[in-house]
Amino acid sequence: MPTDEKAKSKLPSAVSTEESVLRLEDGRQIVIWHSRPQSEEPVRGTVLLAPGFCARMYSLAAMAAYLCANGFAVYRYDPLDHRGPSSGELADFTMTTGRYSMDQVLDWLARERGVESLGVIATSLSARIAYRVASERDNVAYLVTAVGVTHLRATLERVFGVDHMASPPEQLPETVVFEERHHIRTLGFATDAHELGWNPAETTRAELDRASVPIVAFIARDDDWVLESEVEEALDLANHPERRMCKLEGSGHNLAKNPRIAQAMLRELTGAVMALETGGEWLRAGLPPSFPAIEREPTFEMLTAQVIAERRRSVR
Amino acid sequence: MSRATSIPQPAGADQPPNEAEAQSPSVRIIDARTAIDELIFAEDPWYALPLERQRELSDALIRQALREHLERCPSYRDYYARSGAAEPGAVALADIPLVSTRVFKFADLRSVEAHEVERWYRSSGTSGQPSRVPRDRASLERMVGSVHGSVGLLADWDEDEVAVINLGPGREHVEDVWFQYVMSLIEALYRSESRVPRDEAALDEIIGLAQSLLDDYEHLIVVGPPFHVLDLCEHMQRRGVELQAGEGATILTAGGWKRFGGRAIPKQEFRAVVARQFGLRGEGQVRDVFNQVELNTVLFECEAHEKHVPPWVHVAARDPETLQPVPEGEEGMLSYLDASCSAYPCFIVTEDVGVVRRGRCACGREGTRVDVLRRLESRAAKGCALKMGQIHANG
Repeated sequence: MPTDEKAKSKLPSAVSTEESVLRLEDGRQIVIWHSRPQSEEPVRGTVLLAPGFCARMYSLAAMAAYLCANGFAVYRYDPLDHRGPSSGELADFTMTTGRYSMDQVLDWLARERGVESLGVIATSLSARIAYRVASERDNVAYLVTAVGVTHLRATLERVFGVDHMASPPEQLPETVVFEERHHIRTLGFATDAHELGWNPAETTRAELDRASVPIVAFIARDDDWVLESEVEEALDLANHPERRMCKLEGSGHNLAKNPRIAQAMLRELTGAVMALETGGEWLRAGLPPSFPAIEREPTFEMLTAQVIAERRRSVR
Repeated sequence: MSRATSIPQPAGADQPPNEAEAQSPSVRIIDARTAIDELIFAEDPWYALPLERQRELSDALIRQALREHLERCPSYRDYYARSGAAEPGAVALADIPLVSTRVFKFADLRSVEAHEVERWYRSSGTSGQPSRVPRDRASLERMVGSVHGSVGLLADWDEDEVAVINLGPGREHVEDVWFQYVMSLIEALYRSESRVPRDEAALDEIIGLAQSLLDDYEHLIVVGPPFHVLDLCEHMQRRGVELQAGEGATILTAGGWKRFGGRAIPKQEFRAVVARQFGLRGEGQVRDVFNQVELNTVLFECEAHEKHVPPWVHVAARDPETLQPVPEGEEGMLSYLDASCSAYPCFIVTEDVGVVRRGRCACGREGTRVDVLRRLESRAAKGCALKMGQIHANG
């Protein structure tokens, strides 16, 4: 008889992951994954991972595995109007939808899981959302961003080769194509970005001036979409000892492309979260000169098992 | 955690940052670049590089790998010293001492600490004692990178568009057989279903699955050893099934005929049978890939059915008696210098006979290609390989 390989046994992976569905009043739903360390030791802290635009939750499998291996409970979610299992289509995504999704998940974590304070790790476009959220909510204890967008309009111009935000609404193309495959409706996105101040670098800077949480920002030095200078400008490092930039040599915007660089980044990021989780006022006076070395590292076997298990969960 | 590795050193800051950045407590530079990884995981595919650039990269990367293995692998270092080869900086690539693949049947050759070995992988052992080969994380990631970086020789697919049927066991059941392990890793790249076509019911199910995935996905890849693909085609023929895949499928063979060599049919005939049963637009959609447990890089066929060799691998066909490279286009024992492997010195001479060609391929790409023709049959040549193994073992 044929063998259903999926049904027979479970892959050994670095973490165990459960899925929850957050049902919203308007009938839509946000899918949330909760990954926990497999050890019996007490959890060191809780972090929320926000995927970059168009990325799915399983693209953060390795990050979740590193954090879990070092004692953290990790939540991930797929925003509304995004590419994963939550309600809506990617074509309709706006920054405010992204903000609403993150807020809903943070509220759910407080309400349903008793998580009053946590770290947020946000990638690429979701980092721009996280900067605003961290400036307005007091349950975000610290923020870590990776190739985080700070100047939305400039980044979009680099991505699409055209400054669509300069166009009057009637002259916008109906859709633009992201990464040669994904059609995004422009009018809703552009209107939202204009009206709610997502576009300019100045609003990011102003929001970060109000934010008091420690921030560690990873940037890639060969990133064509997010410039090092823009992130430096937004973070205002000279006046914020509680912030740090970690600059990854040799990487473009896709930090997972080169596994040597991804491994170095994940080690540093996990060490950063370990340091930030200790919390306290002392962090506001300045981050430690270096972050602690991680205690455990998932093996290749664990990481591939994790990726395959999460891919299966997504396809299911 | 069941088996996470301990971390001896924090990562990063391998290279000194510029002065201003070095003095700033707010900035940390993380430099984990290596030349080999920058090539394997480059945005632009290696097969788009001009031939001369490929040669330069090959030379530099293999010399770097040689220096590292001489430093880290005492048994290879001894072997190298006794071989009479020139100093590593001066030795010609063709003169780098080679390890017979037979060595891996009885010696534990490695260039990394025991705790860095993810797993020892073995050959399927169709001809006696299996080889055992260690791999560390970097080697495994680069092997996957060699697949990911060469898939473009087949087509430019988005992961959402593709489904794969792997005619072999899934990830949970592969244990340490290298061929099955590599095949099962496809699931880390694409949505995959693994089925072993062990009987008629299984073959019926696979046909149904293929039809269903053809309906649901833009592209279907069926991957497996040629005897399983042929089993499937013959079963389809018996059942009167001809799929209508058109341009929507690629059939990928790997692993050779192994103990089913008696069923082997000429490559062109094989491609014609497969193309007919799957209803493919053309035989160009039937491709083969090559790998063996002792080689870390997977070699893909282009549309002209030539296996392209990436620049981190140097391949040569050699005279079985002298081990000197034979002129280009002539048959010889195949040897590989594979810089992608950090776990052991992947400088190997195999028992395969093949032909190496360099220059522009019929597909239009420049580079090195290898055609693996058959297993070595001459007793004298096998004796040569065995002797090399003994020299190494005695060392």
